[in-house]
Formats: sequence, C-alpha cells, structure tokens
Amino acid sequence: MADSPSRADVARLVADHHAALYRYAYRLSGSASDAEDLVQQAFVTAQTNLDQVRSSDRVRSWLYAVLRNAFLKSRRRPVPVPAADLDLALESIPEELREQPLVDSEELQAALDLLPEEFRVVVLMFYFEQSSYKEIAEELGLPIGTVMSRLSRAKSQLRLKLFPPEAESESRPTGRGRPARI
Amino acid sequence: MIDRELLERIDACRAGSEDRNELALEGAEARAICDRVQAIDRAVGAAMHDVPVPVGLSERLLAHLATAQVADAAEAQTPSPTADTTLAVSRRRWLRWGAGLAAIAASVAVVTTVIFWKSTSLTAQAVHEQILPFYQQEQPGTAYKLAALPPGYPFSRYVNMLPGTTWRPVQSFLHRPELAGVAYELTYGGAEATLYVIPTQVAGLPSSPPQKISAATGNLIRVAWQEGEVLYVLVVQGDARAYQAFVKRAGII
Repeated sequence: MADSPSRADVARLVADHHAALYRYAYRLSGSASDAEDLVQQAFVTAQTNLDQVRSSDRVRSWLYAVLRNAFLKSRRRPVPVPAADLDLALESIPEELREQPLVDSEELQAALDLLPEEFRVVVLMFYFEQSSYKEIAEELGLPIGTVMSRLSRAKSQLRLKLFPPEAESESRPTGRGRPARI
Repeated sequence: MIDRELLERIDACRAGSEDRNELALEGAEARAICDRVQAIDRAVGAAMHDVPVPVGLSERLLAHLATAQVADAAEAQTPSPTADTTLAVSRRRWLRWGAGLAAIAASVAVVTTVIFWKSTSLTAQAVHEQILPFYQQEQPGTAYKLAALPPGYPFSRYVNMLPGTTWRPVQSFLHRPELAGVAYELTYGGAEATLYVIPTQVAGLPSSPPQKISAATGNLIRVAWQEGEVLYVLVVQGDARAYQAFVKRAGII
C-alpha cells in the first residue's frame, strides 16, 4: 500500500471531475462507450502525470485538453473539410426571441454529430470549456481567422438544425420561442 | 442585414463575458442580433451539460486505474530488451510475460515490506489516543454519494450500511502523511458516525468491534479493529444506544 496517498488523490480527482469529463467526451464522440473509453484514457494519463496535475491551477482544463487530444488521436486521419463546404448561414439567426429558447439534449447531439470533427472540437471548446477564440487558436495551433470562421460556421449549422426556418418547423411542436428569420 | 465578418465577430463573443465590450457594436440592429445569438448560446451552452452520466462510472474508472497502476509498475521494472531483432515474436511475447510476472512479484514484495514497516509505525494505543483529536480537528472535504464502494476501501462487515451513506477521501490519517484512505459517513436517527477505512496494519487491535459499549466520553465513542490488511476506526456521535445502531449484532454478521 505504498501508493495509498496517490490513490486517495486519484480517487478525489475521479470523484471531482469524472461527470464533467464524461459529458464532454459524449458530446465529442456522440457515443456512450467511446465517451467512457476517452474518460478512462484521460484519467490514466492524469494518474501517470499526477505531479503535473497537482501543480496545475486549472485541473479540469488540463483534463479536458488530455481528453480532447485522445479523441483527435483516436480518429483516423480526418479528411480536411474546406471551410466553404460548411455554409455560414447568415439567415440562421432568429429575428426575435419571445421567450427564453430551450434546446433539447438529443437534438443537440444529433446536430453536433453532423459537424466535421475539426468544427465540433472548436464549438465544444467554446461552449463547454468557455474558451475564447484566441485561447482556442492557441490550444489547437490554428490561425485566429480559421478559428473564428470555423466557430461561426459551426454555430450557424447548429442554429439551423435546432431552430429550423418556419416552413420546416411548422409540423413540429412549438414552445421553444422558435422565431421568424431575418 | 449583417455581413459575414460581423457575424463571425458576434459568434466569437462568449455570452456573459467581457467579450462583447471589445466588440464595440454599432447600430441597434447589430446589438439586437448579438442579443439573440447570445440568448441561443446560453440555451445551447446549458444543453451541452445535459448528459446523463452512467451509473457506476466512477467505480469502474477507479478499478481500471488501480489495474493500470500495477501494470505500469510492472512495466517500469521490466529490463530493457536487447536489440536482437531476430527473436521470434512468440518468444518475445513469452519473455515479456515472464518479465512482467517477475516485476509483479517484486511489486508485491515491496508492498508487503511497506505494510510491515507501516505496521510498526502505528500502535493500537496511538490509534485510541489520537483518533478523537484527529476527528475533531479534521476538516472533511467533499462527500460523495455511495453509488458503489470505492475499490480498495471495503466497507466493514461489522458495520451496518445505512441508506444515505456517503464517502470522502482521507489524507494524512492521524497526521501521518503515509496513511490515506476513505471515510464513510453514516447517519441514523439523530446520531452520526464516521467509519475510517485505512489500508494499513496495526498490531494489537481486535479483529472486530465490541458488540456493546458501556459509556460514551463526551458523547463520542471510538472503536478500532483490524480486518486483514485494513484498519477500521468507527467514531460515533451519540450514546451507547446510537453505537448499537451502527454496529451489526453478532447473529447477523
């Protein structure tokens, strides 16, 4: 039991962060089993580098980054998607919101799954990690303009899927404050 | 109507942050669009976290991590292979297995030695004398719901597992940095109890807690016992009747 102190540290690390990490992994991968594998990989890395984790003042960000890298490595080399292939839909913004809009968790996942991985990673860093576009650019080693473009196109696609134009959404139940388009 | 460049700048702003101040939007239309984009961002952001976490995930992770730690230790002690590329794959595999088993055996020997060393560093008398001051000074961290037992820290067979039991990590038990474990927090009626589970051996302790306690000191009862390689210390806030609510009767163990 020579390693008892580190086991307690690891137990605390898992207890504090496993739920957030799983949610992040699920949104990235779209699969419960893949998400669990990714979380496992992230914690194994953390356990191996416990001193590094302990000295980090942003433990969760550290874990998110490890998990994100594991996700990107687990994918076969993705075919690069030209930014132009994912339209920036200027009409994706509702004209007005009469009530606080709500988003269904499963519909959100379906919309995320349709995004190419390099767009999904950027949009998750924005929403999940609350990273600024500058931080995303630095973390991923991308030009700021590329990040802004990917982020805006990905968000446009999400808006179109989650708040489809009136004609498409007429048959769907309302109640989300789904608005008219500009 | 807005242009692409402006939409990209609006989309780059995080809702509820200072980003928008840097944007310096001009015109009522641009500001209204930004409002709507950020209202949707807040809804999407909230939904992002709406993912159910599988039951027992943390326990599975801890079990996997414990296994991975042993495997890493074994691998670290495996001698470096010589650069003989002519070895058959099957032979290399058997050698690796052999080296791994030898390393695991060595790890077990080291752990056994450490346990022996620990067993001499803490006495039964020290446990009895130091547990109440430690318990009263301890500042418990976050407690977690008990979906399943934390691997490596078994609940005692002599203590009642009550509904609502939580657990929390314990470090530097009795102010000894080498001792760590978990504490299970139990409640019954108005009484509370803390069961410390510390993987170490202390000589001179009984193998089970007493069935009855005659009196409590300052409304606190403490008992310690040793089950295999695990030290158990139960501290009950309450009287002798409360103690009996937490400890199983002899006939039902």
